[in-house]
Amino acid sequence: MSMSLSAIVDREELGRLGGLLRVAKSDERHVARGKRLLLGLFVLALAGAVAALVALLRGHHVMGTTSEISWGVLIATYVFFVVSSTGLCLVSSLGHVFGFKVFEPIAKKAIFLALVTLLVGFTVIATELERPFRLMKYAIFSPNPAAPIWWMGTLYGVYMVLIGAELYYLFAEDHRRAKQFGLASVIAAVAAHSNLGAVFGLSHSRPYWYGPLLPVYFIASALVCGAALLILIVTVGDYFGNDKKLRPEHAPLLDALRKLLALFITIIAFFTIWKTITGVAGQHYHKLEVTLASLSGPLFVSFWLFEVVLGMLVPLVLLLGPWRRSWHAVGLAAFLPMLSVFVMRYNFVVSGQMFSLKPVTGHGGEQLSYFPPFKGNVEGFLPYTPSWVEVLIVAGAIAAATLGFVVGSRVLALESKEA
Amino acid sequence: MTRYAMTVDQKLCVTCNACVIACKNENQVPEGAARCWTVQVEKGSFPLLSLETRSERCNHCENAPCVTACPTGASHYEDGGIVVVNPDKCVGCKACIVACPYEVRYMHPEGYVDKCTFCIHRVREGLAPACVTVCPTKALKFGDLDDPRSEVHQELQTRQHKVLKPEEDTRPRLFFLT
Repeated sequence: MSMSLSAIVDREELGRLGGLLRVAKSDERHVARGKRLLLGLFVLALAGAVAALVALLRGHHVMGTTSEISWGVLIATYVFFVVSSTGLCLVSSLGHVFGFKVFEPIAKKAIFLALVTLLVGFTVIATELERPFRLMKYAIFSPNPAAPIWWMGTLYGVYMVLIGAELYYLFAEDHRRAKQFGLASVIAAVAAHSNLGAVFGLSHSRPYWYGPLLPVYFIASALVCGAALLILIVTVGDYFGNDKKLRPEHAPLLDALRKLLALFITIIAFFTIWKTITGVAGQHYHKLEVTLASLSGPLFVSFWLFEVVLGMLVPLVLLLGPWRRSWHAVGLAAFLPMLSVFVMRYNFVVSGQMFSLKPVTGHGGEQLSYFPPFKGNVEGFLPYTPSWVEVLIVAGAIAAATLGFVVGSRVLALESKEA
Repeated sequence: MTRYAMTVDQKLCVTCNACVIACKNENQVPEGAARCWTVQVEKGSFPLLSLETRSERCNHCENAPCVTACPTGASHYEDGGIVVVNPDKCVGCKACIVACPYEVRYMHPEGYVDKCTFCIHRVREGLAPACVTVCPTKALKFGDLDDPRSEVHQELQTRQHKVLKPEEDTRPRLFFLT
């Protein structure tokens, strides 16, 4: 494996990759370290693949999910990957679709990563489903157009074809066609991703999710991911690919992305503030309890630390504060929201199920009450811990997407034709 | 038109769990799961306390959120409005589990979503569901809502009754006589 990888990624590249924080050199030590890094990603991806196979063969036995919390970390991971794909498509379209010249150099890489993350997302959801192949069959032969999941799956299928075509025409240097398919992709991306929001937003039985907020909120978080990932492509790409120096032609692009990311994070913060206030005000059944799970309950740390501090406050300070001219700070400020959006998705998916609609600890005679006598009592949340299989699939998926992008962009020579 | 329904008399139910066991045996419900269960709900505060006791299962809603949420039509309405999952069409996406306001569904170990079927295999042979036949206090009744001679029809004509979470607008066919 390391042989074939080093055939694709040349020695200098590996040296720079292995050099990490020191000045890049292509000496033996750094080449070896670069190989190890890629090999590590490959091994992690392989472990994920084995876990995925186990999940496909053994089904939900190997998951940490229960009858009460039946959507776990894999659903959150799927949402995370397609949110990334959607965001990349939307933000990069500013350049080759809507004609803002500053964004144009990033088009190919952005759409390529959008395709990679979408395919990885599809793989993750396939491992989560009990019968993924059956879905492909019955989504066509026995569709239920009333179901949000059907729309979400169908629209993402259409979106996949469209960004595939967009990428093809970008490579063919057919800018007119690329623009047309780019515009179609943007429309499909918004339709598909808002439908994913509607999968939760139409769950009438769960007031915390129900409502028109989620489709819009999902698009807003996609924009955060899109801008953050584009910054990462530029900064990490130049760090390893340009001797740790930002390419001068990337400076205006990075500055524009920095401002966009700050704007998108602010929008998410705005949504979060009002979601929280409406969650608590009015003491609405289920809304209140789930909101309190984040504010002061079991999700306290993942909400305040990961969503608010690391996902919003620190990135905003880095992006707008005195370090905004440092491209390292901007790179870090782009990494944090990615981490945060992942945790946000996890909190969002799991917390909506943590408060049982039928607060019962088990079946067959236990005490329960339908309308809890408490208001705001945050005890008695249902437990969910991802199993090792789930964790490995998540880690493998992230490794596979990274490896797919790094190796893919070398094979397709995305770098040389740009800039 | 036949509209199957069940009534549970909260005044007669003693939560003996005979229905739970009968259901498990009849439908070979896997360990750790249940299609039918009993609940005791405390109401009020001391000294004005009361205890509601009842046997619960799928509400076989006329406006079932699970049927709407199912992408492949695996969850569907059968004869008489009984809500049934077709295991061969179920892809295991669990959207129905999340959509159900009563949390009556579970993942079957064989990879599909399962729940109470009103013992449709028995109903088709003219028999009552297993839980109804074993209830020692005859708290459970099953029949056709549209048939004036059926026990459920008569009970609902003469007794005060309620459904769970009426605000969800699911129009349950499981009625609790109060």
